[in-house]
Amino acid sequence: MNFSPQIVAELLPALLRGTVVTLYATAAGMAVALVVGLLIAIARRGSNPVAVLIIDSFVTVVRSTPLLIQLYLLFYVLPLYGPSFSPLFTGILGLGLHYSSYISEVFRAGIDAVPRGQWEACIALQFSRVKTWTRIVLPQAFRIVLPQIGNYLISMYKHASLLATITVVELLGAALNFAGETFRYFEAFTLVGIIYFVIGFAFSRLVRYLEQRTTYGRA
Amino acid sequence: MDHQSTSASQAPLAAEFVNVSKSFGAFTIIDDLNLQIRPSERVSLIGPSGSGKTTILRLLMTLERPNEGEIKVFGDVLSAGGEGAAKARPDREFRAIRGKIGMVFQQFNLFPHMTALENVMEAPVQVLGTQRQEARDLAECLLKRVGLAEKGASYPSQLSGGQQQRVAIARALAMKPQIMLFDEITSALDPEVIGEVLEVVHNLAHETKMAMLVVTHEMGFARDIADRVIFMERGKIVEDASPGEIFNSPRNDRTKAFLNAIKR
Repeated sequence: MNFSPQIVAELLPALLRGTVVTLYATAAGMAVALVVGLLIAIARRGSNPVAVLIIDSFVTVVRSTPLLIQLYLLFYVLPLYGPSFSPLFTGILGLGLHYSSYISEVFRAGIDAVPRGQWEACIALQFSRVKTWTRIVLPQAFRIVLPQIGNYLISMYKHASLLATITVVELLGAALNFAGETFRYFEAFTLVGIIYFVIGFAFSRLVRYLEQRTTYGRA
Repeated sequence: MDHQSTSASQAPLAAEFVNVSKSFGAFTIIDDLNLQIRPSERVSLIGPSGSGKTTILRLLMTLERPNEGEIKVFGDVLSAGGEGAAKARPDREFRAIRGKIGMVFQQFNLFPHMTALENVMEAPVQVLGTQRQEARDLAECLLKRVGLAEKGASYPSQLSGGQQQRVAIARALAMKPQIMLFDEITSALDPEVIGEVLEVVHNLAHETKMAMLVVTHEMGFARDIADRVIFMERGKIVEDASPGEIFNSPRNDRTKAFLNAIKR
């Protein structure tokens, strides 16, 4: 079988639409992961033992099971007992919750890395708790964790291909559909691999750039 | 108002420790301490490490809570240990009392993600609700006062230790405290920049009416800045007298021994 430019021309529009869905799912999933991960990290520092137990259980369960199973549960099982969402929304939720359990640990480490003197300076300057977090601790913690968040972003971008299994027509899904109809697996998956690589490579370069400029006043 | 103590009929004390004890685990760091600081008074705290000097400042700044006793600021109870700890006051009221106190730290604790100017502006803007332009004017004025008018745009990482500490002093001044706590502010500095920081504090002592509590190992500074010097050991005040008395004719043998050991 030869690589056919004509097939590529037919395939490309569908793959680009899929690429947009993949990037959208990654961005939205990361937004969910960042918000939930941060809330988990902050709540875990709290003194409410029930909340801490529930959160720890959630994190343990999520980390100990495959993302694919979690997506199946959200997509096929949850609607039997609870709300039913669109495939894409379910996928974003699954990606976001899954990664929130990892990102919460990143945030925890980042928050712990902010020196105790920063908290004490906030007390001495009469900051409220909210201002202490939003103005002083989190901006410093974010800079500390940025490279690790970037790595999880790359990982999530690749993991988003699993959404194809819950009928989301993202990049891989688009290729699967095309190949299923035309049997041109060679072109479809070669092209998908190239697209994944180009974007993934760009992401990893961005992360490396961010790693290099995490010191203050030298950027 | 029960916290208007009877002695408040005259000018209230700036700060008062009443039978305060503080321990960390089995180790008693402050032992049944009584201490009174009058408004505008400058007090140096000296003594060997672990004697509890810094803990006095940390208790006043509420970075630590007493196990026993009561700490008052201008007549109002700031914090209390034992049974008194139960009567927690509303947050806003508490912060109004604590707001009379400012602190400069050994390790500066500047905010590394902000410029020197932003460091000084931050608390007035975020805590007091001062307009940005007004806060900027104030910050520029304060930086000038500590000799750093040119360094407003620099980040802490771009400043020397002495410069960082002077920014930290300006930052604490921006909240207009009535009691300023200096916690070994030169201990983390290279010898050649200690002088510039001490000079700033000396000028403050001349130009303001703040009460000052100074914990230091610089004996010359402790003597020159203070109206009153307190020598501490093992969580207790051993001697409390004028700088002249403490440094020229200490009464207590342990004070003598400490000062002799330092001279060597």
